[in-house]
Amino acid sequence: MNIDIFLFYLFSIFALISSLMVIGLTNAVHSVLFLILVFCNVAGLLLLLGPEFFSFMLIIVYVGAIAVLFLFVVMMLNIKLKSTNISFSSLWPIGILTFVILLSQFFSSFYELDLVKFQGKELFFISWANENSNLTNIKVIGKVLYTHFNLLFLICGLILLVAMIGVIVLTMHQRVDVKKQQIALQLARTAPNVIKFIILRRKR
Amino acid sequence: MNNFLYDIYPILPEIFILSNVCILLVYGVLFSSSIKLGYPLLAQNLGLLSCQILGCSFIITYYQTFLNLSSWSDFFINDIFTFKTKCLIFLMCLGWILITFSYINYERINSFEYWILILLAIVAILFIIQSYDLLTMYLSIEFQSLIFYILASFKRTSEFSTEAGLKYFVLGAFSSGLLLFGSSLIYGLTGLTNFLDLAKFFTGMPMLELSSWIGLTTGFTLILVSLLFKLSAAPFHMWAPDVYEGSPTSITLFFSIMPKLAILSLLLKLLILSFHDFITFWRIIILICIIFSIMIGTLSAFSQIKWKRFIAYSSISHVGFFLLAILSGNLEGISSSIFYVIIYVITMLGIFSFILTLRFYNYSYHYQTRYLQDLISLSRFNPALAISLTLFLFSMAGIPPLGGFFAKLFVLLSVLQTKSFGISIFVVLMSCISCFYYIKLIKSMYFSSINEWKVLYPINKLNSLLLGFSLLFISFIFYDIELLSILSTLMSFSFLN
Repeated sequence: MNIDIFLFYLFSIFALISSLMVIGLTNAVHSVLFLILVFCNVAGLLLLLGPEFFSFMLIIVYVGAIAVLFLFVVMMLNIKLKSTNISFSSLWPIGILTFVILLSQFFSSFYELDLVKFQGKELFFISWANENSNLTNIKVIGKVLYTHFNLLFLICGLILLVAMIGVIVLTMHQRVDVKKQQIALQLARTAPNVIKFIILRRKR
Repeated sequence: MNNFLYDIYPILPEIFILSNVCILLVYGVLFSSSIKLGYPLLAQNLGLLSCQILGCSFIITYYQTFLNLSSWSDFFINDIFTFKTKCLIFLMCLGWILITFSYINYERINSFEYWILILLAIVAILFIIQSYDLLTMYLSIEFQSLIFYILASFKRTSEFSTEAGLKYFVLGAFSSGLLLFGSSLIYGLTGLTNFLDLAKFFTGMPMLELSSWIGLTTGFTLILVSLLFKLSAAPFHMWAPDVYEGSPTSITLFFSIMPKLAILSLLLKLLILSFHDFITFWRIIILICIIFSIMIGTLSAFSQIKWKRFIAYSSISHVGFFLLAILSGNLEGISSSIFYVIIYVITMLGIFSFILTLRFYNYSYHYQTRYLQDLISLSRFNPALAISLTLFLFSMAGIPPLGGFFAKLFVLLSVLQTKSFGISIFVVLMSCISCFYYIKLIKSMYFSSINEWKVLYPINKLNSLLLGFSLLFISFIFYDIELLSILSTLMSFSFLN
């Protein structure tokens, strides 16, 4: 079987299953974690299709920013987790899987590498003359984004401006009664003035 | 370079507004936070400045040489429709500022970002009107609705306002998702995003293949649903009454007049231009929407006790009329739809300037009317306001010599031309029912007695100017109806392909 098709099916099956888990799970933290898994799988699918820049952007933006934001929100909601005892037998399959993967890595490295001479067994030839004229993904995007699609780029900039203004308008409180650190007062404080003696009951 | 100039020239007013927004933003931030000046409030100052900016951009648009071209590598269209609509939008916004300027003072909406957001919203609406591609359509709708979410929750100390903002945001984000999903389906099946390209692609296509037919109709339906949501047509109207009620009254007026024309122009472009070959398919969806919106808009308005909810439901039934005009899919229908929108906007401006002026004085403070029962025996203590509201309500009900009658008449005539008798009889019956509750309001103004007399806060000049203007316009439009009908026919020509 072609490795591309195999990976395609793998990623899509995992994406489907984990997106079902996002909806189905009762624990909010777990469903966010599965959401991250969906993003990673979709990024893998994009990587298979070719646009590697987009796939890494997907991981950086969605996993790095949005999913982490979700996690913070979920944790602030103060949902009680039901702790489940992980039995030792349930760890076996994962352990075996990790072992097999590591072992196969080890053998494949033996297969490709001559450990005595410390070099690869087969040489790969890259025609740099061809590669030189290749455009990288980012270059292609830049060439289209700043010429043909420049209007969309500008509108996106405007949307971000609106988002910034909106956040500032809706959240900034300019209140007077906020307790702030006043450095002048702190510096003017001296040892004799700090302790006050208050006589509560005056003896007559 | 030549191309670049052709790109720049049609959107000159937008560029003017945007550069001014940048200047005003810097100005506002620097001055409102300066200790030396004692943290001045810039809201009024910026309001006047933005009024001036809108006036200048109206002049720029009006004196532009009209060019019929598609610019920015076919992402924008510039035809007679967009040209005229831009002028209309600027005039509408100027009227809006005149009405709501005093409201901002009374309600102490002091942050200067309000006006900057309004200017940006105008730019977004102009972008929507000109957009000629699925990508620009999505981005500019997103631009507009992001501003609207912020404006809806602008009075952040009020619970209603935050509720409105949140509700609008959640539902609006959902509908944007539908829009994006629909456009991605269409792009995936055709590889095209431009409206004109889609129109060329679909000519004579529909019965071609079952698989692509199903995909295309699904995508098209999703786009249509999200646009109808933004227009608050009936099965997708759930957000409208709550958002209208919760947001500050000036913003309610903005929501009820500004986006209607823009979203309607997008609907016209999609339905008449790109997907005209699917007419047998979309007529059913639009028909269902019309029946629901006119029915729900009319019947739900009965049980309302608050002004804003009442207006929200009546605007839903008006949206039904816009859609009814599109139903025929011909030139007559488009022009009558545009005519209806213009009359609707002017009526809305009048009614809201009435609501905003009806402030009751209760010693040491005055408050704005919120309930419909405040109208009781208004004719005793302010006959001028009472007669003006009577005329607006008659116009909305469609009593003959007023503007609303002609709007409804043209829509019904264009529908009758395609021999859709059933829907027109239904619409006439429903507007009879709506007549009943408009007249009920008038009755409570004139024929019911009140025990305690209320004191009205004096009307300020700007509001009264606009109230008078829209009143005169609505009542004397019959004298020269071609003032608008020629304009709307001219505007509808650009959909002739």
